[in-house]
Amino acid sequence: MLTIVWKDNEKKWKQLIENLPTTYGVDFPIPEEIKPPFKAFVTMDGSNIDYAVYVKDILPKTEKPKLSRNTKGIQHVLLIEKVEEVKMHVNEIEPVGKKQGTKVQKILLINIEEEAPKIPVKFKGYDDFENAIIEILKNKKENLPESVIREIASRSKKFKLNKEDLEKVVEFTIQEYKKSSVDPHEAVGIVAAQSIGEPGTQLTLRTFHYAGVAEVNITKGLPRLIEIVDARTKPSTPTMEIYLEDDIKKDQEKVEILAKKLESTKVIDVADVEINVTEMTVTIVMDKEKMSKRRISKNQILEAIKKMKHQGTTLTEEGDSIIITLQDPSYKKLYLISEDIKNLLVSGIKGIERAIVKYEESIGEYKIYTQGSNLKSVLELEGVDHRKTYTNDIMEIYEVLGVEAARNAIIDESIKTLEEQGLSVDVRHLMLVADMMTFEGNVEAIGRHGIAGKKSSVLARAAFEITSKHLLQAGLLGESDELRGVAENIIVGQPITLGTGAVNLIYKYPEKKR
Amino acid sequence: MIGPEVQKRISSLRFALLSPDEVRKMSAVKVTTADTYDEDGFPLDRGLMDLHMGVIEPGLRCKTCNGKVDECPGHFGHIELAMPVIHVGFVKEIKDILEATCNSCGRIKLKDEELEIYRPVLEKSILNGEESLEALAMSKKIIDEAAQRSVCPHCGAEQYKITLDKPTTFRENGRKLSPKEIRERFERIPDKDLIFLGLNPNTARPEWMILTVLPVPPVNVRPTITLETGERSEDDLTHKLVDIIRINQRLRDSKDSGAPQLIIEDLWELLQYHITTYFDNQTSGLPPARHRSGRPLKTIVQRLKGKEGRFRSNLSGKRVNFSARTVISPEPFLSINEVGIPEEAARELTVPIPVTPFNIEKLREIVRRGPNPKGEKYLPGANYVIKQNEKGLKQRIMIMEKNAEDVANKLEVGWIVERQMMDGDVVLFNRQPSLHRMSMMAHRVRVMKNRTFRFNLAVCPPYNADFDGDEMNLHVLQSEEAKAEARILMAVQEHIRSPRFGGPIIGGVHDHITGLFLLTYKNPLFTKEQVLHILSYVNYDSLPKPVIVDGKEYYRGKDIFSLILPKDLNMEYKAKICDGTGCKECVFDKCPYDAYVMIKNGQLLTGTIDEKSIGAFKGVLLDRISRDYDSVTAAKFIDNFTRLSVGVISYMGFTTGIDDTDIPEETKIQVDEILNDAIESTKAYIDAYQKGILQSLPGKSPEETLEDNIMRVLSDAQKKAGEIASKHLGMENPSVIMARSGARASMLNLSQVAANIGQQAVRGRRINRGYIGRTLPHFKKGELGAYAHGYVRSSYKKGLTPLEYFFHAMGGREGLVDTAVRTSRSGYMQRRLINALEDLKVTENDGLVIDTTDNIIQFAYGEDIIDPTRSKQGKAVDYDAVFSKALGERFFLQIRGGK
Amino acid sequence: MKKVNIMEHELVPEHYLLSEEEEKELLDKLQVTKDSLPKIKRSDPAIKVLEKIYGPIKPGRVIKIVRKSQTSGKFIAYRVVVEE
Repeated sequence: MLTIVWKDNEKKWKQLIENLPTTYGVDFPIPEEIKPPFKAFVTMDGSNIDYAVYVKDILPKTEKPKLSRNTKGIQHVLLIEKVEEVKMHVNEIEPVGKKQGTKVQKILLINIEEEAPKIPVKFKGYDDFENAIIEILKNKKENLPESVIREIASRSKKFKLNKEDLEKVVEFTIQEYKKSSVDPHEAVGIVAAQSIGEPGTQLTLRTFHYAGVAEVNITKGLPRLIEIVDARTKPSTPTMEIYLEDDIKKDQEKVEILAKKLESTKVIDVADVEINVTEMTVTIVMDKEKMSKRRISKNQILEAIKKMKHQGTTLTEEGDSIIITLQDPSYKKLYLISEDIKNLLVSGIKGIERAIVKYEESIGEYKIYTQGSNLKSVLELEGVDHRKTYTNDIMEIYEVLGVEAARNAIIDESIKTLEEQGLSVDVRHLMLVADMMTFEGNVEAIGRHGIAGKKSSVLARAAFEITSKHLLQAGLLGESDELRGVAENIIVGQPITLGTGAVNLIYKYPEKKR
Repeated sequence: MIGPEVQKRISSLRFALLSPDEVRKMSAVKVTTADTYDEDGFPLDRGLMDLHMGVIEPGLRCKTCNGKVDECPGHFGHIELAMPVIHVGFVKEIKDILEATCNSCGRIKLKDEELEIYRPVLEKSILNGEESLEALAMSKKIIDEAAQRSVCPHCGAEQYKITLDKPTTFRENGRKLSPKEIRERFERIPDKDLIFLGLNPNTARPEWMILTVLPVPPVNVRPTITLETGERSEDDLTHKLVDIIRINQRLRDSKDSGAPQLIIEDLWELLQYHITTYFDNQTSGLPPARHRSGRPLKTIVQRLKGKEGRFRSNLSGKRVNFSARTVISPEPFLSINEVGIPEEAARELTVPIPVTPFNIEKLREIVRRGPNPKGEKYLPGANYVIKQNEKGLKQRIMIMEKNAEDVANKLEVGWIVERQMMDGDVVLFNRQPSLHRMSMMAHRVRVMKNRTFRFNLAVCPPYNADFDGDEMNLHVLQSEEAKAEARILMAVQEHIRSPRFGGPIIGGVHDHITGLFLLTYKNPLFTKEQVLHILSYVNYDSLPKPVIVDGKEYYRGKDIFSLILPKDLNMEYKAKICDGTGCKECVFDKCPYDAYVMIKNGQLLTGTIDEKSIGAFKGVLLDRISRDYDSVTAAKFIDNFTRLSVGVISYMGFTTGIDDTDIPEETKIQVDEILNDAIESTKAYIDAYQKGILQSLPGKSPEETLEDNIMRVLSDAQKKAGEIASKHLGMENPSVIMARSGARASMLNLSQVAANIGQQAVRGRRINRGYIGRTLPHFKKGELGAYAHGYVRSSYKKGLTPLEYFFHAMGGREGLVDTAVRTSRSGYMQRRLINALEDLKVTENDGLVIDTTDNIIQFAYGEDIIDPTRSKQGKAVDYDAVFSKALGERFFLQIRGGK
Repeated sequence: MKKVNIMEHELVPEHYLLSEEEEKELLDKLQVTKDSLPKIKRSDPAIKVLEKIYGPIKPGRVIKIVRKSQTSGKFIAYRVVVEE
């Protein structure tokens, strides 16, 4: 919601509050987009937003207001209904066209949430069968995971079970569940690493998949798994799967238009950029053919270049060319400007190189697959379903959707990579890896630059890290190794602290008979 | 009582710097001479091989501890350096401290108030010996800050810029700083400032980073090697030490005799070089010290680094005693828990058995046999006896023929007999690369003739072993605790299921599947004699019920199989031979192809047993038995069906030949037609493309579209041709039996032999590489046709033309290279995963997963506290089993469509 | 351009802020200190949304996360807020 925040002084404001409702004259213009009734904000010191103001109407300046901010230069008269105290910091609002955190000097146009965002609840409630099962469990003082309860319930429904049978089923299920639990002290980390590493030898190295009709190239197999586990900032083939909003997802034409809008076009794709050193100019010669193929108009190029503010330059148009002349001659600047212009985005979203529309039979709607990824911009686009749109760039997911989403993405991507090649690995192992990688709140790599390098044991790092010298140094400066992990105990030659090594047997002497 | 004493655990290790005083205190001798041995070959006094530092030659005794070669651990010596020298490993720290401290008063160049804020965190971590990341980052910040001050806030002296000339020369404002000066500066730094610099004042004073005394490693760390020619060759480290001592001596002499400053400085630099390369011969910026032969020396850092270094090659992994390695061969009649060991190996490998009143007689008998008992049957003897002698020390007596009787009689309780292997001993069996925990499992020994290790074929998948020359390793467990842990935790039968995906990994392979297929497909009939022969391979309680056909008594295959099933088992599922394509609607137990398996109360009523039932990875019957019953039952089941299938197939016979892939003439003509059509389509596409009228696929260029279309057309043709050929290959055909039952090969392989091989591909595309504009000179430039880019029209049976053969080799080569590169890349990934995750374990309360510092990684393992090994393909509960147990027949009726 | 509530995305689970009492209960039940809990950064997009509802969230507070689990259906985890 677009609205304004203005700076006022304490005395005037107290007066206003005491005289509500009232008319109030303001000496600044109110943008046309803001129509009454609206809620505006007021700050006293420019840094903290102190009051919310409910404006019922804007009256022309001819009306004489009862109170005013400034007696001179009244532009509008506001009919103020209510004033509320709020506690907000200027950092928390989004000024339009300015940086966040800009102090309010007189008036600032801002974008503010209508109301606090809601956290959508993603779990359905329980139906009768499920509730019945929960009852039975409560009586037996046992617990089962939710997925098990739901599965039993749905099957029981199919069989139309009565209460007695349901109890039997639940009883057997509890037994099965307990039989399958994991043992305490189990070395789950090693098992997980082995279970993921062993099928690695069966993953192809070949990254190219027999590219069928209208597909984008995606890295698959072992190289992809290594990318995920190394937390690479950009995958080698970033790609997005874009779902559309309900109103256009079945309309091929509309989807195609959207797809075309996404494909990014740089200046270099539709024009030639030449440097003339003697005259200190950068000439952009527009290529009509390329422009028409990508449906770019001359104006778009012009606008884009104009938006780029370079100091000390003048812009002239000459037919199909645009010439930029430098005031102060500087080779370096000339080169920089020409490079900037070449890469300047004319249309589309930065990072998206290609967008292909595909009809997905299983769900009966169209989807867009892209080569290149820019999650933030795409999610904000009209027509894009921001609930389901997906990218395979895990770092982007972390930056835009948060660490929990990144964790889920790591699990999904690695399972997908393995299953594509026909290898099944239990999710739990990948969950463990994902949880390890996201423990610190961001996404860390598995290797020596990430988790392995942060281990607390000197010996463990020395054995793994190639430059043992490097780590001995840190150790020599006073570090002690508590020998709590696996690698260091092996080096020292004693049983490890996992599995059987975590447990001690105590012999209980038989009681002496008196 | 001899034997393992109460073991103490090392609780922690502390690292620190050595001060010059400590070096002198721990030294056994001050080394002054650069020579090693004198003319007689005796180590020189005060030389580098002085006997105070240890002994390497048998016969000599150490002068410090009076021990012999195997007793003396070696002792350090020391060298007094004429002038202080920088320790190359600490160069970075020295630079940081120089920059951060004042050059005259020695204090940190930050005011006290500024330092106070950091004090609590730094004290907590550094003084306790836990170098937390926070503390490290803090001290780095402090150093950076302090380095920027150009005036000391405490004494006001002016500071200058410190630069480092790699690798060890420091300059202040251009002027060279000698190590002596640096040392003096460091001595001025007060203890209380040290934690801010990241040093712990209890273990590391900065001036100790400049060496004044060099410790000399004991003699057994750098032993002299006597070559075959009789010459003595010194170790690399000794060579380096010789250089150091020589230069040190010259430097001392020059200093004493008042030589010019330049010469002294030169010698000093040379000394610095020698000491630097003594520590690390691969320091960047320095030429490595070399042998006369040109080979660079291997000094201290080189000994520790890398895959062949101390850590990875001698500490994290070692060579061990009581191990064996040989070629493996199959033995279907061993239980899956057993391993067959050659007699020669069994006689060498021993198990230590303590003598107790309960076994002393038995052991006497064994000792009496000596190390080489004669006789046809293998009987274990003993190789050594360990006793405590009069002085209370352990004494090892070797048993030989002549003293065997004597030793046996003298045997007392409390001694230890090292007896040879016998049937039933527990050993660890392993195949490298050990990628998962099933690569090393515990087996029971069966001593056998001949020189290979033998085991049941069903155990091949977890080891990933085949019998084309693979070798495997064996380890004999020495302690009771180890034997107990192995038997209970590592036994093969505990690992029937894999943690990777919650399904069986030990199961039927190849002939097992074929054999059971032959036994159960369409219920063949056997005479009583045949049945008895087949069942002789298995333990059975009683014969199945016979049926009367044409007045004679016969026994049915399915009933024979049912003998090895548990009596309360109830299951229904589709077998592998049901390919789901033939039938419009499944008729379940009335299936004409005998593809619906129905087991009621342990009786196989309908269906064929094949890969879907008992195969490794996919066998559902195997899966259910291993989940519902204990591991002993499951192991016995596997033992039984492997023997049964081998019995059946040996009796019924099974062979294959090229005639398995014969197809009648009309079919061949049909196949030809299909392939011709495909070639025509290809030509049409090429034509359209060349005329520019080819319709592009969305988002693709015309070239890409052309390629896609051609590949699709040819691939469809291959499939169709395969289908047609398969129609004429029926179930009486052994190759088809193997393919359809899942034993080996697939229908694709068969269709490639019978009908058409198909398009060869490199990198997912048609063959393109070769000559300019064409693949081979047999084609014109720009030729786009099918045959010119790797389409092989022939079948393996017909034979490939030379061009086809060439392209096929190209396609095949890609696969081989892929495999070769893959193993190393995936190995590295596995290593990193293991290193990162190895310390995680599940706690006792509520399945929390923690690491070494008690951080909670997961609040519940896998979010449901289920062991993947025990899960059913990842699901916590086997719902089918639960419902079938609770509802009985009702459940199966419902599945079959509710009647 | 439209304003997007990232909490609505499929990959993002439900996040809730625990009250100080609930924090204490949790730490008591698990018998740990806050150092042992997995972390979430203050700059995390999910925290930014929570701040719009609850106001500024200081480091040291604990977030309750309700995840959709492929194994157990619904799973509750916790993360402690830390500075960047």
